[in-house]
Amino acid sequence: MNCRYVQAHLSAYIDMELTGIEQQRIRVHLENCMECSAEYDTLRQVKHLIRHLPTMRPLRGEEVILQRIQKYRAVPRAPRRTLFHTRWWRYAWGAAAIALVIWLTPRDENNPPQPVQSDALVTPLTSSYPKRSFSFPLFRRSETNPIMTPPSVPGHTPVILTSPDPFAPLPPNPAIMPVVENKWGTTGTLQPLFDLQPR
Amino acid sequence: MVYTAAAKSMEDEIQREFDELVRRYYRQAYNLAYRLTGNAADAEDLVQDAFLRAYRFFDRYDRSMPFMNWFSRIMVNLYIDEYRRRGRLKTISLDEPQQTEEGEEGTTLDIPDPGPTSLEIALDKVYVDAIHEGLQHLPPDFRTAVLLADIQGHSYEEIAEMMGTSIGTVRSRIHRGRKQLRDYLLKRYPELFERGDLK
Repeated sequence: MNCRYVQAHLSAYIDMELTGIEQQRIRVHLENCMECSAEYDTLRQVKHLIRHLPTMRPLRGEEVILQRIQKYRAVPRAPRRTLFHTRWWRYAWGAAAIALVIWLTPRDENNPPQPVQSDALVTPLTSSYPKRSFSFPLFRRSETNPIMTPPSVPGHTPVILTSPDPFAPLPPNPAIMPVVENKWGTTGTLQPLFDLQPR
Repeated sequence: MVYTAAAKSMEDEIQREFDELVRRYYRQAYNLAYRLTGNAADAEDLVQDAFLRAYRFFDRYDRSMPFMNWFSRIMVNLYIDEYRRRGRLKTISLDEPQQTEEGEEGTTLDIPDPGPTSLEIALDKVYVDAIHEGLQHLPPDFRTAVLLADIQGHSYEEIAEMMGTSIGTVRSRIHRGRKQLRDYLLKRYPELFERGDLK
């Protein structure tokens, strides 16, 4: 808390527009610093003087204003334009419409669409774009995603590839373990370690 | 345009409400305008224009906030617009002697309101004129911020909203404005800062 900081914040201090801690710090500083204290006194005096300037009385009463308002009111005028009638909004609507047309136009970089003669106003403007540098993530009207929909060939049923179930029991392989049949079943089955019934 | 009776009566009610507000706040508004513009004629014009504009946009007035806050904002904006439209700042050197102030000010200065403010403090007319002069020497943005804080007693936040700036800007304007006014007064009337009874 140096003098420069304090002196820069003296007006805010006088108006009590600082945080509590700042107010307190500056107060402590003012108690110990003669120079800042003198500066504070003069600024506070300035505020005091302005606040105690005499209230000026107008030469004429408020009737003049009331008459002007009456006169204003007597003149018939169209209702004030609302938000959607102002000129700015009209331009915004127009811009939005043009943007929508560009957006919905299908993009084909190999065969750029040619101007259509029948709609000379809108189509040349939008279709003369050779290529757009931006791409919207939302849908387009007449394009389908080739990844999600594979081409269908007549007479061919697509093979549905499924991954094997990792928890399914493996079929017995006689090359690894020969299948031996005994009275409890085959070697693939679980066999007791001892006989439950004495032979 | 077709008015129904209900709409007509509602409009009359709004009109009556606004007239009441004009009567109640006219003096206060005039006082602020006088200190802003520096003379009675401009102050009267400013107040009239501001009230007319307030009437035109009265449907946008939020009844939950004080009328004077909303109205001050309109008036301050009008004043600053007017100042910028004129395109010139009345720059008078602080050092050069003021030769024309007596001739002009003598005719335009109004009678101070003999209210309680002039009873509780006995500021000499010389000093009142000096402070008024000093205020007029401030840049208009500084003067506006200082007056809103000291005469109207608005917080920095309210002033920032009225003037369309940040709180930091308001703080800086008030501080610099007060310092400039202090220097102006200190050069001419150093006794203003010696009298103990004003503090």
